Amino acid sequence: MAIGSVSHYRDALILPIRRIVMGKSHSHTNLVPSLKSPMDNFQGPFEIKDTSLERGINITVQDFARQQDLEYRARYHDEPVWFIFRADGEVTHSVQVAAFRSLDASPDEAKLFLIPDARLIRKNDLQLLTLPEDRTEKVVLSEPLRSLKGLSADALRDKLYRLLGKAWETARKFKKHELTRSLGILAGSPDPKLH
Amino acid sequence: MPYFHFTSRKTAQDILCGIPGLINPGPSRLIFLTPTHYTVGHVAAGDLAIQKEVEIGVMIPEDLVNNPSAPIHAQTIKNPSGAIVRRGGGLEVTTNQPIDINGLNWFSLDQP
Repeated sequence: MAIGSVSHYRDALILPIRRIVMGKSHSHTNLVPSLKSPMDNFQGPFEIKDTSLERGINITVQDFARQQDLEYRARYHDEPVWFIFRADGEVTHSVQVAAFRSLDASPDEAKLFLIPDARLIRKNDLQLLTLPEDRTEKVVLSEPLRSLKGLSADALRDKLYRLLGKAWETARKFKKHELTRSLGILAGSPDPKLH
Repeated sequence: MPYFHFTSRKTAQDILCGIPGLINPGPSRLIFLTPTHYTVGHVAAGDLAIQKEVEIGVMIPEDLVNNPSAPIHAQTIKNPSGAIVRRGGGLEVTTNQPIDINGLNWFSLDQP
């Protein structure tokens, strides 16, 4: 795991440690917008059943992150989702890599999507902010899994490297003022005993 | 300051039935922990960006966790249209070392 700038994170974090987070009684539950939207027309993330392809993605994401001095999560929570990310002041830029399929696509039409993203936590009210949906939709990159499966290991690595490079270039250019979409309030307020 | 690990009922069962009883890193090569005590499954799943069922928690004393990372905020998982799959933002700590579960306190999380 690449946790390169631990002290940076430690400084940036708000630590609601040892708080009991209740569901129905907690205010943030009521403030989170609906997780379904008219634009929610994808299924996934899907497991990438081709083991060579899955391994190629796993290795390339980690290599790219190390080379670019980024942090990463490979198979996040043991699911088929990868992240590269870096905190730049208040804003954390990231690229998510995962396979999705549109609802009207056949099962063999899943694509690998690279989703450039950014977010920040507004410290005065613990709001989690990110890009508007339409902004995200315009910058995603994708490649059919079918076409990636046919590539040699070297060609797959080259292809993924190019895609990651392009997606990361997009992600790191997102500015704080673009993060206008609230995902709700984070659990609890900072515990002063921890500071 | 304890940590908490949240998982599915099936995975908790597999961990508890195993000898020796250990939480082992999975395909991510990490064990995901949080310092936050969640009591409702979907709140933990949303905040920590966990996609599998979140039904069971276990409280883990700090001294049982080797080389924990500094906490960071969990990732936000989106689909390609920008819709949110998991909000993330909760506090995430990881370790790549197995955790001995002997004598730990397991608990069920509430349903929505």
